[in-house]
Amino acid sequence: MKTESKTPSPRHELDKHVPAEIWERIFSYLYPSQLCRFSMVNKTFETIVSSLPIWRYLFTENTFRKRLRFLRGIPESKSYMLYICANSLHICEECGYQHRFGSKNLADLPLPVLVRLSESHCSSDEEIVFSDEEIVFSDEEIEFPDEQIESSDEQIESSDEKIKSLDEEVESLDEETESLEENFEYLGSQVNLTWTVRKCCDCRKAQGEGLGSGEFEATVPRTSPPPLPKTAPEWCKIYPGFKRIVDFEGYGYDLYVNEDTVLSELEIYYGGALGAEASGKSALEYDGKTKARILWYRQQD
Amino acid sequence: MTVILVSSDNQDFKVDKEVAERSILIKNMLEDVGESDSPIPLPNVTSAVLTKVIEYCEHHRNDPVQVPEETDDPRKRSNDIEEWDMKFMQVDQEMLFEIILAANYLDIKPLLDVGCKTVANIIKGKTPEEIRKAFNIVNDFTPEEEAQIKKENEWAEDR
Repeated sequence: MKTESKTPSPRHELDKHVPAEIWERIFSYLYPSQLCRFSMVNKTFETIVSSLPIWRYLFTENTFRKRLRFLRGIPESKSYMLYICANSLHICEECGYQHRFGSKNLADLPLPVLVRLSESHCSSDEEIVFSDEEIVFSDEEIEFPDEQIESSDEQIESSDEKIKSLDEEVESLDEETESLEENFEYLGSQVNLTWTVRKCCDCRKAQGEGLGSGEFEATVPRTSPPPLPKTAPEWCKIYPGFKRIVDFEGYGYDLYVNEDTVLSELEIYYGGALGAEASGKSALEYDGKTKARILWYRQQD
Repeated sequence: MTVILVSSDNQDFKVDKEVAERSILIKNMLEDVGESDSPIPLPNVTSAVLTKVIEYCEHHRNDPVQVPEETDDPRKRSNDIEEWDMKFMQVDQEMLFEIILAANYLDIKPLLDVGCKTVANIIKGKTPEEIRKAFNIVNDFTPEEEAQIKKENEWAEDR
């Protein structure tokens, strides 16, 4: 997609005019996913971004290995970025740690979380406040066993109130955003007020706590699901229509799986509709056995 | 006490010493030279850019010397730009980078930081194509290379 229509003056060729050290300084304000996007802009930036120390840092932090031995035909510096990008679905951009399915709890996996430049972006006094997340907990699909419904009713009521107060906050935020957006027209393009970064459960929670106490539970639920039955026959009593997988993944263990239940469980674990969507798009594709595994882990507890 | 700064296009700028010393480069120069009235040539800075830089230094003349909090994650701090600085940075793209380069050359760290944060905020949330458009960057990948890179960068694809 080369445009030769007008040759830009040397001043406009940012990649040559602005030294790499300044780009590196700019890049220190960006998250890994944003760096990835910048590396796709052109060859110069691919080189600058891929040789940033952050990739090697993430690699050593997560693998406890000093260096990556082989990615054939690729310079060592770029290898780290490739390795980290390939594992991006497991690495939290906030804390930089890799969360595996083996962590027993899928909620620990990094999810794309919407972040918005808040009012503090143009005000000096306030701390950075991450404003509302787009994660909304929908509980329509989830079936709780009958005995559990009573106790969870109270919980639902109290969280309803929270949601109400949150809604009001969101409304006032929306108004603020509108007025903000008008002020953001410069450099011939608008500053995008929102973007997503992948965050693990703990970091999502920390972001939620920025909103004020208790509100996290309403936006990003990590409600503990009702205690699960211990034995397979009990499972079958509560959830009809289970399929039996004999010798699951060679573990010498029979697994009873019901897809609907597992999916609703996933939704709880992933944190609402956005989480479910994200899991449908990425994590589930990434590992087709997730659905079965989550059940398996639960049964191991 | 005032200091005379000379831009690359030979324009003189008379500024207070206190203001000029926001630039560590000039501060060190003045310390080396001692009391002297001789103008300071700044061959890397045009008068247009120098005007902007002096405007910044005038506004921040009384700021305490910044102690950088190295432990803080800079990724989170790109949001916190003062309102005045925000407005100050609302310039065209060429001027923005000229200011950053001048701040780098003159060693005015707070100005360099504000400039870099501004650029970072422009990048955030943009796709590669939008970044190219915003910064006037020519895409020099072949379609094959681009496809390959898209495949490699999972993070970039995953919104």
